[in-house]
Amino acid sequence: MRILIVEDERQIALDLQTALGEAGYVMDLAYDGETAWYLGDTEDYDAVLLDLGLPKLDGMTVLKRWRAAGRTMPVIALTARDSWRDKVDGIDAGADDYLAKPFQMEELLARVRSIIRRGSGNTSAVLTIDTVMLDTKQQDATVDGRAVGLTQLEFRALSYLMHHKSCVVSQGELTEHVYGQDFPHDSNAVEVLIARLRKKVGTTFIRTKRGQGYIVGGE
Amino acid sequence: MTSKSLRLRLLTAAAIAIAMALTLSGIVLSRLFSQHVEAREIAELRNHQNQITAALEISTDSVVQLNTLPADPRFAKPNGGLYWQIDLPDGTKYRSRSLWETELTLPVDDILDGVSHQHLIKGPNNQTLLAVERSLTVGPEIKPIQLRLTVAVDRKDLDTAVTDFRQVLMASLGILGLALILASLAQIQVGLRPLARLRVALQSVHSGDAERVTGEYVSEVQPLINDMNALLDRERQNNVRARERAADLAHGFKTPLAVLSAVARELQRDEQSKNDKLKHAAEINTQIDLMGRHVRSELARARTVGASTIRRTPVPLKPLIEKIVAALARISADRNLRWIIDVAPDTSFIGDENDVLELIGNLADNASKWAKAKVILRAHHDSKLLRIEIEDDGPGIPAGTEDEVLMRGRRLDETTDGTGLGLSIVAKIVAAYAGTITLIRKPAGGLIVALQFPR
Repeated sequence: MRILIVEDERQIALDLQTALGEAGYVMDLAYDGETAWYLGDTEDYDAVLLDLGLPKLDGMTVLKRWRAAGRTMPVIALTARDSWRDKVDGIDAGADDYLAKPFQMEELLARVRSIIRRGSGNTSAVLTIDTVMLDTKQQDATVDGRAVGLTQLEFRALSYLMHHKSCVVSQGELTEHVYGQDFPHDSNAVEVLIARLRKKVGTTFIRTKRGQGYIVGGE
Repeated sequence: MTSKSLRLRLLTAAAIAIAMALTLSGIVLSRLFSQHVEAREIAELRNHQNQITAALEISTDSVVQLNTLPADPRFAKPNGGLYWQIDLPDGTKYRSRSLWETELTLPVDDILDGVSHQHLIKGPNNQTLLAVERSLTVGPEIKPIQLRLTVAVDRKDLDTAVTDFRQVLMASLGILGLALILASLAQIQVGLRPLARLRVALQSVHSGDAERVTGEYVSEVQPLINDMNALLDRERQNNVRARERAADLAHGFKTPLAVLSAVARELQRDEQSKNDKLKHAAEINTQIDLMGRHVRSELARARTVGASTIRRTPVPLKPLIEKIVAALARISADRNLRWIIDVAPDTSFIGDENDVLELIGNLADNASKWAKAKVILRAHHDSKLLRIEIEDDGPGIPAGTEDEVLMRGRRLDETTDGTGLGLSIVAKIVAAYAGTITLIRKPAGGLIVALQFPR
């Protein structure tokens, strides 16, 4: 799962990066509105944390521009202004959720999980497909009730595939959402990762569509 | 009028009105006077005419003679100012001595017998004369003679009289005008005295000698004073409250700060185990959370405008509630809650829009957190009351704990999100509008939060 963090306060950005990294997400960081707008407009994210008070271009404008350009990724607005007027205006501008600063990190993580789930039509933190159960909160998986240990990369890949159940996910897309900006130079990296995952969750769970990508569930 | 002085404005207006009235009456009076003088003069001339007519004597051979000359000495003196002339059909003219060598040249006109009319003609020294002319038929019936009898007076006398009158008139009207302006000045002075008194009173409020504007004022000014006093009272109350709040906030920070400093000292001591570090971090978080609550509550209170005696604009509730529901429905999209809005289109809240947004927003947010499947928002008003209800079908609260929950909501150290801060903010806004909050338990589970506001 790939998340864009837009926050001009470096300390808070770092805190968010650490916390979200520990929770198994891949992140891009933007410290100002222009960079944020460009990244959100050209890259593909599963969620965006958007501070509304930003230098160069304010968050509200960035959000409106994304929505006007047809970018539909879920956005959580972060702001020190917590009146209902601000909340209503933020959601009017296209935010999917609103979190007032200062916030508790657990609360933020819960909101991020919920907003990503919502995007994929799931209502629970635990995703189940066939015999595989993935707990997105605990970052672990069970197959037939038997726990299988997952590395960060494996968790990210499995989580992305399971959130996009019945959709073909291309190798490029998976690379982006699993590695973020630290693209592996080894072009076989994703194949190796999928092979490792198949050993843990069963060879038939992740199927390969020749020339297109990978798919989980469906049929 | 660009002047900002009330006195100058009133005075200018009075002066203009007085000047206009006096000028008009001057014009009317002098015209009336000259008409009157002219009428008198014409009557006089007729009189002379009648005298001359009476003195006319026509002999049998039709020779016209005057048996007595008119008595007025001006007829006898050359250029005396009063003239007569008789024109006979054969061109013979009889004239007063005053005409001396000259004669009166009358305009050629037909004139009915016995009728007299007036002309302005040129006199002996080229002066303007006011002339009354009459055609007369005299003499024996078999051989009547038609003659024209003219009596004329120098207009100069008349004009002098009118000019003299005008001078006197202008002088007296001028004096009258001055007197009137002085009178209105005095009137303005007396009329504006309460304002001068008010200024002194306000100065003493400003300097802190008095708390409100004292004294009885004229009925036109008193309502203003009452409003001003109400404003001053409110300002003072707000001031007191602001100071109390600042003190509250500062006190609210004292304990967390003391705890934080204790934690810092603890951290400086010896080696800390991982467990200790986690415990200290948790303690720091708790204190930060507590301070954050104080700050947020204070911010919410600072935003509250409250029921103002001055601004009482109705805020339509339906669009506002729809906005809140749209926002909350989006935030809680994964829960598939059913939102029911039962609000008459004309329902309105009298006060600040952001206040009522905060109020309903917080309560609807609470309700959506507790609700199982649906949230209902109702708002209706009549002439006396506005009633807003937010209902959820969640677990509700235990019987008999309604007051306790409200009290708990007002305290800040309550940690359950959704019952703590939200309800505390709501309680403050409701109090600022002199409204009431009631919690109603639903027997089948669920809770109704009912707000009532006087209108």
